[in-house]
Amino acid sequence: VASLTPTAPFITVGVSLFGRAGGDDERAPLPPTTARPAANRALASDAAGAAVFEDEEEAGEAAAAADPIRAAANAAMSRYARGEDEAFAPLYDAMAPRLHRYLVRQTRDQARADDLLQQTMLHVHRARGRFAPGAEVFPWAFAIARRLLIDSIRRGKHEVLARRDRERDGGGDGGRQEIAGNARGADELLDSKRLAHAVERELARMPEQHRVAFELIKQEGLSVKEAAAVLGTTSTAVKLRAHRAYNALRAALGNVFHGN
Amino acid sequence: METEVDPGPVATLPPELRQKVIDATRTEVSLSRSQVVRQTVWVVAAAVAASLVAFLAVGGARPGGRSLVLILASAAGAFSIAGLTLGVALLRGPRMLGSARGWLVLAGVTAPLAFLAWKMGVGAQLGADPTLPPDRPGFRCLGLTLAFALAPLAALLFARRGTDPAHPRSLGLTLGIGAGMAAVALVDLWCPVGHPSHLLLGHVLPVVVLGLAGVWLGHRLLAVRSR
Repeated sequence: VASLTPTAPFITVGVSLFGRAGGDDERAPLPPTTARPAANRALASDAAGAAVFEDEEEAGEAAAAADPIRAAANAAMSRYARGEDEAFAPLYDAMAPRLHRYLVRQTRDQARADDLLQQTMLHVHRARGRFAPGAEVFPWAFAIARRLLIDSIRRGKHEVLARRDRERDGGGDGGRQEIAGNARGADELLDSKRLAHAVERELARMPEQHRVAFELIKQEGLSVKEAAAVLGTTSTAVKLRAHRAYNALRAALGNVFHGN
Repeated sequence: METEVDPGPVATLPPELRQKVIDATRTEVSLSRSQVVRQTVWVVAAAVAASLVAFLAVGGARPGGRSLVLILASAAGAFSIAGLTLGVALLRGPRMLGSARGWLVLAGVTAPLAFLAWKMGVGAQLGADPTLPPDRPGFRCLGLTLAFALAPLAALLFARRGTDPAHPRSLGLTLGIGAGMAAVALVDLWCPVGHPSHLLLGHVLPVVVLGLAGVWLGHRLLAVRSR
């Protein structure tokens, strides 16, 4: 069982957005986005954005194939579908952290995320006999989680909105905890927090379709094709949504790095 | 300045949740793949048998003045369209989320039109009687198509109940159209009338009705829902 902070994936997103590699220059100021005309031209239109995410499609599938957690989840699910009850525990261990992280980000509510994770895993349990041999379990599980989340939001829409408003006003809730300190020092931790906060704020501000497409690809590691299947839309639509989210985040994070 | 920074939401996966979920799976029986396959085969076979019995009960295949070639060509087209439609709906390959919504809708929308075009084309080529008998506007065929499709559609919905988290309405549409097309193929063996208005009322309209029923039932039965 894992405890997760979302800061790490947010930082990964930030690094990915700016092409920043780890190392000695990690804390150096980034060049202004306007100083990178080639990159800006490439991202200037939705068509170009779709082209950017063409590469993501291939890279996403390759990454999925090489992901040991996904491989473990697929193997456990195959065993579980065959009727090996003891395979549920490793299946849970492989899937629950990612699903939970996704649900917490979507709901901003620890208790609701816990409940939705439980429901998602129980749906996987109930439908295990219908699991197709050789199928990927993560896109299916994310699609189930997303459907249950939508049901949940429809049932308690006003409650969720009110909670989000309270959180934005600084009320917080019991689910928030302080990030554990790391060895890189207080400045870097502060940068990380600022970056995480900026990403979170920008993600919360963008349209749900854009945000979810971006999160499934960039933060949950699904390929464009898998994200399209989860969202019930085409790969092209997912690429465009993710690209628009990418541009919005890029602009917002540019301000953070430049001290605005 | 440091106090202004918000660490953001933290996802802590509670350790006790793991045992809670595992305990819940132990109290709720779920079938393994082999059990599901066996159950599905029995249910679908029973539904197909029920439709065939109903078909034989109304008299089975009737030439009604049609040539054997016309009967075979017409039925072959209808069964092929039904098979393709059901294939798009049911064949997933190694993917749990099945065909994309666009393919499901495309299959559902084009199947009745393709059948109508096939019937008209084959009828024109192979000398079908173009007249409309006054006592055969198409209501009997409409009723028979709905009756023959009922059990297969119910079986398909049962086999896929509660499993589609992405596009249950589209899947329901295609299953309804597919079951309707299979029923139309049987009715086509029985009904010799090839007039367009009869085909529209007796053979195409019930398929459309079944497709719309599939959309509604898909939302109700196929969708993943919280309990």
